[in-house]
Amino acid sequence: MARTKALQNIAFSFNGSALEGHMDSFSDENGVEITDSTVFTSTAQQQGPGAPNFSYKIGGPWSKTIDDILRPDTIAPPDTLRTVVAAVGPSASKVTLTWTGTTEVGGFISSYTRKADNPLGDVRWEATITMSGAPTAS
Amino acid sequence: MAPKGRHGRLLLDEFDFSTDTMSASLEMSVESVGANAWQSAAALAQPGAPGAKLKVAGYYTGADAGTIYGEMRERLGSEASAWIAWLVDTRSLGQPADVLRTAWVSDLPLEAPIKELITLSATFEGVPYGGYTLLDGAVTATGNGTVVTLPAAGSAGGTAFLFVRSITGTATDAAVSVECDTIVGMSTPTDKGTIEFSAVGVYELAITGTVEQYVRVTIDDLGGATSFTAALILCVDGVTQ
Repeated sequence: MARTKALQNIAFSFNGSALEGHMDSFSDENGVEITDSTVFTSTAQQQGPGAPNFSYKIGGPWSKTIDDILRPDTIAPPDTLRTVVAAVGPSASKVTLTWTGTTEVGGFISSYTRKADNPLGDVRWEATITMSGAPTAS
Repeated sequence: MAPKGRHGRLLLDEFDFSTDTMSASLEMSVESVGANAWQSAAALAQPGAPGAKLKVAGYYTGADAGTIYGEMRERLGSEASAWIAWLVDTRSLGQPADVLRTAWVSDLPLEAPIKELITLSATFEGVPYGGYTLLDGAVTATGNGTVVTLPAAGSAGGTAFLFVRSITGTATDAAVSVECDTIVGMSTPTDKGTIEFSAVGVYELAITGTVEQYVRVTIDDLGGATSFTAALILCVDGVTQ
């Protein structure tokens, strides 16, 4: 099966701003809550799937542009969640997840870190975008 | 291209500890508050309260007053308000800068590897403010500063922080103003407030109402001093924070 390289094949937008030009790391943290339904008559642990949850860890070389996009929402979180679009893969086989922002569905920045670890190295950023609700997949 | 770490400036109240700083990390977080309900197709969450920590690592140069370790230790668990600011890129004005207000140190370990320099790391807690640098450096005359362009105009005011780190001579009511205008030429600027000072330290200016997209500082009065060295960070609600 053909491999898929990351270069040129990741797109991520937050509140209408495309971030992939500021990113060199992307991690899609999709999970499903595990619900425990073990009872006394169970012969083994019984578990089942609960609600899915979604978050993204992204990061890259820092710039004023990315700071202008992310920092305000971290200091003053919005009441209306943001529209987030995450796309993985080449155009012929792209998987796109879209959350259209409302008061219940959408994304918000749950962490934004700016680091200058090395006096001679680049300043970098990383953020976690936590999603609420289910996406539309295409 | 990203700025290098060495382009930053670290200010703690009236002290500039940039040359003793080797790294910084500003961690801003927003609590995720569960809001799950029946009929939800997936987990629901809302953003809760924001918070911030600034972690700084630097070189130990002694524990006296005025040293990086001495001043940070003075603020370890302190209830007296302090301000700490990280100006990310001092190569030009108009670059992002963050201030932790009512800052205090929650953690201050020293490391002494046998064959290396003694270093310190400090974690500052405080209330985060994000803005742009409008002034950073020595001021030797009155006049208008460089015009900085905000991403947009703001309508909910904001806060300006003036970090005065040295005064040559004696200043009595030296004055620095913040102005804004709707055009970059600033032909009819609006005065958003003035900070007066006579000593080193940090001064706040509460700004109300509209802050137009083009802003600058104006040095109104040196107060009799030959010069002073200061940084001003303008934080505009709904725009830079």
